[in-house]
Amino acid sequence: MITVRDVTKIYPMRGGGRRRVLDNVSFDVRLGQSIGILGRNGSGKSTLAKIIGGAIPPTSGTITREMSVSWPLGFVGGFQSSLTGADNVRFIARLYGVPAHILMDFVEDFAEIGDYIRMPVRTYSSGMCARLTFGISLALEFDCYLIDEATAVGDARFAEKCERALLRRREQGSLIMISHSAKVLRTYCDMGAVLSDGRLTVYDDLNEAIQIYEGIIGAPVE
Amino acid sequence: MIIKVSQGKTTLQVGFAVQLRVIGAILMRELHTRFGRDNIGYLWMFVEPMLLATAISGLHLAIHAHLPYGMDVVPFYLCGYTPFLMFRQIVNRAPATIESNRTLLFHRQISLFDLLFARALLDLVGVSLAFFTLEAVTVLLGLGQVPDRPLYMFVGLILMFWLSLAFSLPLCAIAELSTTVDRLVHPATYIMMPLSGVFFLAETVPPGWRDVLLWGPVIHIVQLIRMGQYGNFNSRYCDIPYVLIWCVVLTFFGLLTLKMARARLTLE
Repeated sequence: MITVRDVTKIYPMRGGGRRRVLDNVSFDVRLGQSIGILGRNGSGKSTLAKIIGGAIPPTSGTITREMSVSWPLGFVGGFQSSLTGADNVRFIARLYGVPAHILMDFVEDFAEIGDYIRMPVRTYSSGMCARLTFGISLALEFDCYLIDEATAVGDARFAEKCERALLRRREQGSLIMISHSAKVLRTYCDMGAVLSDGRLTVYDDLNEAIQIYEGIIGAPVE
Repeated sequence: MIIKVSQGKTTLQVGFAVQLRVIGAILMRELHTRFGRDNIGYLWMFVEPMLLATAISGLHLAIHAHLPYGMDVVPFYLCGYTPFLMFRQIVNRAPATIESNRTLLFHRQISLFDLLFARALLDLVGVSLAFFTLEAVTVLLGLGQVPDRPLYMFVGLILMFWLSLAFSLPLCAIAELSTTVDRLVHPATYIMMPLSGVFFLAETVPPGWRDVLLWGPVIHIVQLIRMGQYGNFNSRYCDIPYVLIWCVVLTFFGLLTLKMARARLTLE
């Protein structure tokens, strides 16, 4: 279970002001639950993901992780773009204490980027970045995956492959997913949450969350 | 095959093991990004400081620098310049640490301290290898003697490592809040070089000036390393407790500022 209690994040602004990005956010994620987080651009969704993942501390409040949680999986976060894909794989393997060759085999097989694995990541297209990200993070089995807009990239066949792998993983674990796409969220999530003005409201039914979000932005969400 | 990630338990022992793993991973990554695999690759780690130290020592050999206590010229400048090079490299690189590693901070295991520690460790190893290689070459060429007190040298290098690391902590943190730091650090370490006893002994400086120079911590370490080289040189101007105070105070202050920097950090 992940317990988020009274989490507030305040960033100082240029010129002396302060911005309250998250305001007393509290919620729980139990093993087996999957929750989709909706919110406008700049509403603090990514900040929340980074705080849940532990990359940045909250200004106040607590996060308790009683299961293994991935880093926020996005396009490039967690990788060094000047290094090759293979170097990044080895880096992650060392970091998480797993045998590098097993991780490499999985990634080469899953990502299907061929010789590009030996090229610097900065030469990759966004689709290839996503292949690497998913290859590495799906090789490591976390209890909870934190996914920040990293889905629905690459070609249809790869997207389908990711979907299958991620859904299989979801059956045993949890998912916290940030996306602007209702379709993507419906594929993976049962529950929904809307982040607005720094406040998070959780709904047991994802469709309810989508409706509320549509009300906030004043347009239907696909 | 899928590899289960354990849920990082927080006992002290496991925490320490994770820390070592993280520093190891950053160390390897740093080797790749800094020196790469092209031409001589990792060898640059100590070839670079070696070239610089050789140039400085050679220059003074050529102009027949005159030294007190019958000190050999080449070891004298090696003992001054090579350790200072470690200080300069670690400190100069500190302000850019967050910028060049920002994406790695997505992993909660990686602390800013880990990044700075791993990077500094690489400089310690590189500069020490260069230093002892050059010492050996100097002896083989008959330009100097084997160090009389190698233990002093080891202690000196470790102290220089700690001091440089301690300086790098707040510099890294403050650089995240203000970009001016990066611009000031390079000139500052440049000015420090002639003021840190790299090219002279504290003994040969007029007393009034000497008292001022001895406020700096680096000069004491250089004196210590020279005492390691020359057994007949026992300096009154080598205050190790004073250096340790600098190290401890800066380390605490640095860790505090790093904590603040992480709280204000923006990623991506």
